[in-house]
Amino acid sequence: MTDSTTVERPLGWHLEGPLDYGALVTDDFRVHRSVFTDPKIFEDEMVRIFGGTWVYLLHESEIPEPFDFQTRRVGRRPVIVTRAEDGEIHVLLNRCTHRGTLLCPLETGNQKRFQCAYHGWTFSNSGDLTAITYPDGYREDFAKEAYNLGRAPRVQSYRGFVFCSFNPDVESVEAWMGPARTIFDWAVDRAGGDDHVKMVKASTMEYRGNWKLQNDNNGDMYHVPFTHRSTLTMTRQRHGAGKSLDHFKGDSSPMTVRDLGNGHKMIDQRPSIDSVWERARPIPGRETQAEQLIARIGEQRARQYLEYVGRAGINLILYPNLYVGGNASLLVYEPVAVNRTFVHSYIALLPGAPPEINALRMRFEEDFINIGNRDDNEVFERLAAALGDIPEMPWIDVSRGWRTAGETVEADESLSGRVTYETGIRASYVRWRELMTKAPAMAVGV
Amino acid sequence: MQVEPEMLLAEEDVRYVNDELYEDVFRFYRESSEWTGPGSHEPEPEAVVVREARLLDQRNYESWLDLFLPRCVYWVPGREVVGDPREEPALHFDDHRRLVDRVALIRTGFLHAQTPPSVTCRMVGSLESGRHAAGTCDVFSSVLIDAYRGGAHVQYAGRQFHRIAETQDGWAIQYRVLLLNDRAGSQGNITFIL
Repeated sequence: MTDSTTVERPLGWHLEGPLDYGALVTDDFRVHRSVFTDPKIFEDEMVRIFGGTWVYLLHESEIPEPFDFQTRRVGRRPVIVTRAEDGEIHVLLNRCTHRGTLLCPLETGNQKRFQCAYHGWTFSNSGDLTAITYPDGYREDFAKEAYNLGRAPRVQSYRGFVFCSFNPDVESVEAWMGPARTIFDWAVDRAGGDDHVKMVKASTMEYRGNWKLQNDNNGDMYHVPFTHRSTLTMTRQRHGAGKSLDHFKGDSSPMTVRDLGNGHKMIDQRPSIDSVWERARPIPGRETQAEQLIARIGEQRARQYLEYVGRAGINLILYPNLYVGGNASLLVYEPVAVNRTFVHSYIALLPGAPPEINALRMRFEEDFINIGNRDDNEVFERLAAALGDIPEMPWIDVSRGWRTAGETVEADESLSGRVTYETGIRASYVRWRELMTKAPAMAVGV
Repeated sequence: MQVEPEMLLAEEDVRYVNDELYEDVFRFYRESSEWTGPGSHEPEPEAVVVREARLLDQRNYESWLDLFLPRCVYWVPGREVVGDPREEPALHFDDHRRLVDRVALIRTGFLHAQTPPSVTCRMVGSLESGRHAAGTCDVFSSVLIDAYRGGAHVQYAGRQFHRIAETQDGWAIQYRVLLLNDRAGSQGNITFIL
């Protein structure tokens, strides 16, 4: 093991060769500050993490019809996710193969072809170059098919959730999920199954800090009484005990955090949440919509449906970029720069549910984003404001719970810890070190 | 501009910056920064819109809440093309209870995202209005908000629609819809009230 107290990169290391990424996460779970602040490391992450493993793109319900498309970023790579006439999903690099122009500037739409605004090269929605302007200008042996759009070599839809990878050798999504798959399936089943959701974009939060801060935070319950003190205080003052985060009672609660392998982690809040609906902070229309629903379909069925208002008691984070809150609510992390991140939130309309439930779900989606998340973002920005500027203090610590009696190995070989432990966060840094120390053979299909 | 020599030599009263003046100027500042009315030169109910902007800039959130009817809606859509709010989330779709929640959240003193607070300056312009029905008036305006915090300025601009209703105590806000230009884009720290 490298002596972690002396590892500070030499000046100009990036000119001399690759950094020893293995030394930046120590075996006693300290993480080097440069992992959050160094633009060169960020660049390598965009290749080795956001290219080397599976990255979540979108839900199939966002491109339901032939020729529908949505644009996304895979790391920083701009892509167009299209549904072809035959229903197949393609992940195309949003870059004209002629001179490199962004081909499609729109977020979403329905188009059979994409035509470059610069010289008119035209591509089908499955990526084939269909027309070159004035083709006579090219030599006879010019291979047009070599100029099809670049594409992610691996695309897989798992239960309606579309992932892609630029690593042709990546394992299947099922294998990559590992023990996390059971939790993921539970969440999809609970919210009505594969085809019974219509995912809609909610909003995008932005903070001035590294993408891993949000990823870590979604697997962290330790911060709740401090970061969310305003939320806890206001909620108790205004709505009494037992609402929102009030079920957190430190490590005396039966909740756990888990290291699910491959960097995936979760907080399991379900043991402390008896009723999602009863624990939801009052949202606009709570009383009127519930009463209307009860009057129409009866108390018992209405109660069942109302349990779909609010998140379902899990924070499942599939490394690197997807958070599943249960009840078909998602966060997707988009790294913009080493010190800038977008967090996109999505909520599904449940077409099988009564309209009152969907209206309440929309209002609930606005709840924690506006009441709680902004204090998280503030903390990320404070972290970014200090961590990068003190070269004499290069390390942060994520060892809470490590080698204590509170961590146990579960039957599915995942590691379970008390709810305030950094067990899940460690999972992500072990994975970070694994992915960053090997450069996969990346490929772009055409 | 060329300064003429006789200007430099002119007799000026330079003996007035005394303690009395300091006290008077500072009193003027304090009274102005805390000023709560009676209102602008705009006729009611347009003046309610101007008053709202001022109260928000003063972070006088309790008086701001008093501008609203008990059955009010404060809606900040989050889509380029705005649809039925029952089928899409907004940046905010607040009833009166949620507005009080948000003020109470700030007033806990523990809202890190407003420690220190955003300092804001709003410019409300392009005011137009039309009577809607008996006792209500719709006011349309443009607003530009500069918010300064942590060394950075952030600007928000948009159109706003107010439905102002006549009550026994004067005019009050029934609906406020704020249509930000960048509503579909990313939002940073919007924990001050937009």
